[in-house]
Amino acid sequence: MDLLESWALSLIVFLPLVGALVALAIPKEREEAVKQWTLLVSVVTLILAVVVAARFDFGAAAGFQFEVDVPWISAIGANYHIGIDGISLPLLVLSALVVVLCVIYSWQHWDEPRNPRAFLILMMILATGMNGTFVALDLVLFFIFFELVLLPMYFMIGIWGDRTMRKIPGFRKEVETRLYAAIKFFIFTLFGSAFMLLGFLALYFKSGSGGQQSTFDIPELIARGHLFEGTFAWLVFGAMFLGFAVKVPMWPFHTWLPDAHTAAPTVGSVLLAAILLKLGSYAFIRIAIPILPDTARDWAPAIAVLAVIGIIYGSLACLAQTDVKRLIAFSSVGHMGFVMLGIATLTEVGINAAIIGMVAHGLITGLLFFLAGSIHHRYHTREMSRLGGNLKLMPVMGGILGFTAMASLGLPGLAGFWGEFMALLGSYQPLPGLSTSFFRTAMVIGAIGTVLTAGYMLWMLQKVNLGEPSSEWAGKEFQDVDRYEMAAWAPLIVLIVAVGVYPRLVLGATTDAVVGLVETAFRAVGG
Amino acid sequence: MGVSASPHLAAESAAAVATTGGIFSEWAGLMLIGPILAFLVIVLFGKRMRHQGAEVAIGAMAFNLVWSSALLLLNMGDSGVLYERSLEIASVGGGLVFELGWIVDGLSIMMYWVVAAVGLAVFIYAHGYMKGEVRVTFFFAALSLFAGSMLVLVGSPNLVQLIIGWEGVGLASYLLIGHHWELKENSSAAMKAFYTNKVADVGLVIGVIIIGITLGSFHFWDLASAAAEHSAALGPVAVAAGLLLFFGAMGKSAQFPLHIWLPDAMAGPTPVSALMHAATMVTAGIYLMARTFPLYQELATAARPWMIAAGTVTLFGMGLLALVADDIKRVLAYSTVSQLGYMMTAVAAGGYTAGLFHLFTHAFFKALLFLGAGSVIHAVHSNNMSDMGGLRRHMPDTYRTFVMGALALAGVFPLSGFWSKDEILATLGYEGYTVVMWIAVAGAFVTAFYMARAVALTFFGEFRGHGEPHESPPIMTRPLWALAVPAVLAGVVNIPGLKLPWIGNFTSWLSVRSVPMGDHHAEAIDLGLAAAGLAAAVAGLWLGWVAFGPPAADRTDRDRVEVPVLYPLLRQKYYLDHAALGLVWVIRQPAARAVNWVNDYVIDGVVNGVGALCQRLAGLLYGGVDQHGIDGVVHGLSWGTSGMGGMIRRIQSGRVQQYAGLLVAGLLLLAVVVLFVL
Amino acid sequence: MTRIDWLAIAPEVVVAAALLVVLAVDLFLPRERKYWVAALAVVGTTLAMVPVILMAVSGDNYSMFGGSYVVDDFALVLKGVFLVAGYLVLLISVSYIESDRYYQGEYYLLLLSSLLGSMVLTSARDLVVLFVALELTTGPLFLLAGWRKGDLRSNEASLKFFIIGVLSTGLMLYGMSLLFGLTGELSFEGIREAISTGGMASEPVLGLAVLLILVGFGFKVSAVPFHFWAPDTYQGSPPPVTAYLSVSSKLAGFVAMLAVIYLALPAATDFWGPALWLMAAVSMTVANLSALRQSHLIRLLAYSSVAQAGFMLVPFAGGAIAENGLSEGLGATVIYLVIYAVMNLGAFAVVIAGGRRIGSYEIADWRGLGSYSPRLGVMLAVFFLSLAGLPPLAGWFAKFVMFRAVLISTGPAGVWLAVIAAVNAVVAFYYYARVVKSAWFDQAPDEIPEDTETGPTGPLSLAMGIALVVVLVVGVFPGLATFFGDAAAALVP
Repeated sequence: MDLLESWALSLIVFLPLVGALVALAIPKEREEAVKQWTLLVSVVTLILAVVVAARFDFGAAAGFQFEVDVPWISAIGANYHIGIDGISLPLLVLSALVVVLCVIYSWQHWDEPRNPRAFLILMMILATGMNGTFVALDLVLFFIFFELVLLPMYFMIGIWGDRTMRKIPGFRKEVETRLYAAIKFFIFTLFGSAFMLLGFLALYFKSGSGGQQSTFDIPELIARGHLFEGTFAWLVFGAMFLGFAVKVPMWPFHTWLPDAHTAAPTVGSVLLAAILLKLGSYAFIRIAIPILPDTARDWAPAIAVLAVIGIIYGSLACLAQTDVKRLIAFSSVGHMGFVMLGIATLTEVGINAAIIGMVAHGLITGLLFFLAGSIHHRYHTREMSRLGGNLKLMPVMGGILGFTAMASLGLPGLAGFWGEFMALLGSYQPLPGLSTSFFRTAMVIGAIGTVLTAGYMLWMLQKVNLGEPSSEWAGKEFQDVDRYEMAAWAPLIVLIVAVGVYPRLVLGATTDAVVGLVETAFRAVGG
Repeated sequence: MGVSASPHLAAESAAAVATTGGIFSEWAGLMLIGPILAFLVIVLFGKRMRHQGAEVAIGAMAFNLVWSSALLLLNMGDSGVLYERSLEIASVGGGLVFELGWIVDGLSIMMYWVVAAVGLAVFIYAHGYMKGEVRVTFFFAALSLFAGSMLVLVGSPNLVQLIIGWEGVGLASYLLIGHHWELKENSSAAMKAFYTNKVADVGLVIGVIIIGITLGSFHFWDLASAAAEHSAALGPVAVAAGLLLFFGAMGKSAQFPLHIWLPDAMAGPTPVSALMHAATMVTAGIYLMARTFPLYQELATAARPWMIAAGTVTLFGMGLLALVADDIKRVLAYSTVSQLGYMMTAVAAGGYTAGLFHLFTHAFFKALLFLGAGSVIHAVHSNNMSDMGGLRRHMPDTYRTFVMGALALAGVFPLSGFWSKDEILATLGYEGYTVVMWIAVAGAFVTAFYMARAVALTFFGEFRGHGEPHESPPIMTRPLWALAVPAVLAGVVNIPGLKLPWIGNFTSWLSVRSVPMGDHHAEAIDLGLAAAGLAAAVAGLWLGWVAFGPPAADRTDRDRVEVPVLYPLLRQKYYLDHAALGLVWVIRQPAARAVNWVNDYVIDGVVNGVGALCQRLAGLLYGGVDQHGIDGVVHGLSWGTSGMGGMIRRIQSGRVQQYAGLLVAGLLLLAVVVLFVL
Repeated sequence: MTRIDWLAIAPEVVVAAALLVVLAVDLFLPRERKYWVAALAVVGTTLAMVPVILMAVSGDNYSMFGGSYVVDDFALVLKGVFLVAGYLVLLISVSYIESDRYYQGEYYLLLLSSLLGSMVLTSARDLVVLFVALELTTGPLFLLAGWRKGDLRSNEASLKFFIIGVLSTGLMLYGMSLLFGLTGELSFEGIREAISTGGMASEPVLGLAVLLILVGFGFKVSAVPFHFWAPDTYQGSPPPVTAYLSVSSKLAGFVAMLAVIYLALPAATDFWGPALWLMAAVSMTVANLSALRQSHLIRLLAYSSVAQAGFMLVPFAGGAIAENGLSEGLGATVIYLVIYAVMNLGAFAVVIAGGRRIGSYEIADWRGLGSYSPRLGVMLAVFFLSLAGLPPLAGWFAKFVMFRAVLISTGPAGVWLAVIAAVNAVVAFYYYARVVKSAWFDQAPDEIPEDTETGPTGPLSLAMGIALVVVLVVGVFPGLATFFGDAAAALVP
């Protein structure tokens, strides 16, 4: 038990990395061995995550559990401090799960230039970065993990990405999609995180102003929240905002996302959508808001405005897409808009909405990208004008696509609903001190956004799934969903339904933690 | 999983004695889950079943009919059944909880029973109707989902579960309307239905949010209590919440102008139309208004005129559209919209019982009419009445039952429609909405007129279609007869002033609820009003027969009375579809394209521009300054300061002197900055 | 004149001895056996580590020649760094010089001389020793830069380097003489005290002296606008020499600068603070932007090294702004130097190895390297991305301490410099990534360059391996690097 307490999280974080190193030692030609090994590692990681969830004391979800706090870079006071609470637990499990599913899906689906070993190694490194971000309780550690995910994703997009040429507005020559996307993804994220780091450092130095030792420790910084105020706090929040908002991504920092998603290989898109986008919004909840609650209140209206713009903008942009993958990518802008709207309300309901919205988006959009990948795999095109009648050619895949699209548009009873509904619920009555009429306006616009979401999803279904297959495909034999796809997707489908019907699966862990967070942060006002 | 006991049961009940209903209530949730389970079973295993899953769907419905009949019986007579059970599915902070569960009271029992009864008839009928069709398995799965979602909706003890059922119904309607999705018009009709409802749902969702946050609970009985106590918190937002909920109801219950999806929804197979227009979907809005009735009755009274206005426009204006429709299903569709207008008007005016009673009777005769129409279509392979005629002889069962349904719809004494429509008229009169009442009477005339037209064109005259039409098989005609019985007789359960032994009456069934509502229901028949309504119906029937009965029915230009402005207006459905399409076009084309343009050229333009700017700047710095020196300046400097430049002109690629010059220049610059600027 | 402590100068003695042995042996060795010279040089450098480690373990400080020559933690740490860097450069050089097969002895002789100079430099505590040591470091490089005598570019590189070097040395010397004239002191301690007791901190002449000295240092560390020689010289010199130039020679400049600024002139922050702020900002910006346009790897690394110099100057500016930021700034610079030395040498090692196989330093010719030589490809990615400062590669920590040192003061000057540095870090990523992109994302050419390695490649691989391990380990456990910073920071009075 004690061993589990102190080692479980570290194992979840570093096991994939160790697995990657071991995989390096397996000869490149022995693809099966590499796959099996990676699957084993990721499954063990998932099992550990599930065990942690099972051993998690939900009665004390507001506090950190499975904590480890040992010195790391003593000279700068950065510690290897990890732990989970109710907020990070669902995300950690989601992350571990999605990696397993990605490995399974990859079994048969390799984008050029193949090389499964390299790809799986990158995926494992990515897993370490993602899992680490969700458990890090030290700003420097968080920064490291937050950045660690960049490189593998950069290579995934750059090497295995979409090789078609694309005309980028403003560029004279056509550019290969993957190259443009990879560098754009990286530059955007790096830009944000550079400023985020400045913010972290500023917090560090300021935290020493009470005569105490400066610290990067997140819980400690939360406790010293009173030290940060005025212009300083405003600027620090702004710096962190840049870092997190790019990752979310919030309008107008989102333009890397459609490109990256469209260009990335299927598994890359899935991981990007399911987990990587969550790092930003998670950071808002874990770092920005609890440490700088008063400033968060100043920023909340701005965040809400950007969130609402994102909702409407993302949906409208979807309607103009011709590439099904790009459409799904843009849908993330809208969905993450709801997540951010929830966060901006600074209420228990709103932040809860954000977390369940994150989980749901991870499940649903992850599945959508799987589907987009498989569709591309079959038809070798993602142009919706060429697709059609998919439901006739591949009834099972069409059915799953329909199901997922419904989940994505927020159909009640499926996972996507709660995030949207609760975000709106939270906006009706934001934190005292925030303008009610302002947030209610945001709520109405957000609600209209749900209609637009339904619009593009239905439109996409009509284009892709319904109708007669065009002569291009008629008479051709298509392999409907294969074993690996089914194995990778079934858990997502089950979870989408399960979370939809019984949201306590997520909220059971988060609510206490969120209530604790809001109370600690806004006690003075909230009463 | 938290199970909340029923805290509301202690509340005062209008019924003399309220029982909990024993196991039938305690396990009533099975009725909600049953069809959903059937849906899952059919999806997963239906293809391997003998009847492709139909047996599962029918079985679930039969079970529901038995169960709900038991509840109905328990609720009859002197005692009522009142029970509620909720399972918490999440606590979300701020004191709010989400729950799933079921509610058993007069209203919900009535709905359970109607859904089960009509549903079973339709399902059985569909088993025959769909023989040889594509995707039968999927069809029955979706039908089960349709019924199941409706039950989740009507069984819901709270607003959140209602939303779940509500949108589930929407989804099922999308699946069923678009059953033949190979044709674009069908999938478009499906989208239109789902989408229009989604628009309306914005109202519902926001309304629910307002109520939920204000009360700290989504519970209907909390809402009812708050309304009854004239809650100070709820008061200020009641009208807004009420109107928003009503907006949601307008979508599902096809109130003007959100009715546009409904006629197109005829694209679905006919059993779908029957189910949708009788028991599920369109009644959801009326049900919601009934469920939240106390809100309108006590607090949101200011919302009621708007609701009545919408209802009145719907009941009359949409009825007119049925006059010019050629598609028999469209006639019935507009008729449904019009009848929904009646119900909505009644409930809005305070006629809780009247509205629901009409819902009750309408469910039977409208299901009957649709199934009859389906039988006809099945026989002639066309929806258009110009391809029918004279079917009276070929399809006797269909003909007889259809006429019964038509007469009931027209409100002919003593069929069910007469009683329910009369109750509405009486309520309107009692509540003082005299003008509305007379419009409703006029609407009755219109109803009778178009039904006469439909019957005449379909069953009388000469057959105008191709081939030899045959009566449908028994599996289809039997459900017709089964529905014909209540279509004719259902009125007797609520004859004003009459309380049947054992059965009691409809009013007393409904009065079983936790919070009194103070609605009005007629205690005695208003003979004058009844006569007026009957006269309107008879006049309508007569005129319709005169205009369209044989031999006029066989004429190609049978719509002789083409009133200049009105006729084109009606043929174009008041141009509402054009308006809606225009709106969608604006969103899809200019708006979406503009956003995409902004994305690609403005935001990305800035991003790429910054990149390009860096490159340009780099080029300028590297090429212009770093490599070539700033020739003039540097030359001058290097000449003057180092003494080297003047003499040595460019050794080799010769930039040494420039570099040296720049070095000195750099020093000077630093000196200037440090000494004078800072 | 105090007694000479032999242990204290043992490292220098060993290097000097190695130097002499190399000179002598070279005379007798037949041409085909010349690689023994390289081996001797490597052995000498390795042996020199021994006394350094001994002294570090004992923890004693040694002071000689009236305090002009001091061996303390700062000196020891940097001696170690110079030795390691020299060792790596030697490893890198072996195969390159071997394959050219001429003047091997002289090459190692000059390299060891420069190394000797830089080691003395770390202990220099007065202006004269400092100047001599600095010139001993730089002098041999003028020759080494022109090593490929037959190559016009190499000659030009050497000539430019020499002319500009002489000019800047002259200016620096002028500045030092002003400083001496003003204070009458040569030792850093004396100058510091003279300034503070004499109240000369805002004397304009002092300002002039400081600026002139900074010009000299600016040349050595190749900071903008004193960097113009660097790209041409880097490109023209033999790549191992370039590696040495970009690391050891730059390090030497920084060490001298650290000593003078922090030991002699801590009071003159009004002069060097803004000047270095400006130099840092301009260096980063100009060099990073210029690097964007480079298509030649070595030239790109040249601009990269200028930009890195800019980053390394940032802590100086921070140190000037914050109240007690001096030790923080010193520590940060030293940590940056240490990490930079390893990763930059690693990068050069990869570039040399790849260049020999591909036969070109044009980035475009390196396309697809990762597909036919994954080992080199991975190394390339690791070192270049480490230079870009991406976690968990060591470079991140260098950037981190750099930001930390400048943000210690929350004043606008510090914040703005931090912001400029942050933006520059992003710009820098672009050109580093471009190389990685070429190696990994682009299609390999139809004709894959054959692996036609001549001469020993073991040393080069060893150099890469060492650098790789250091970059990865320090990246994950940066505490290892802070040791250097802490040791160095103790220097600040």
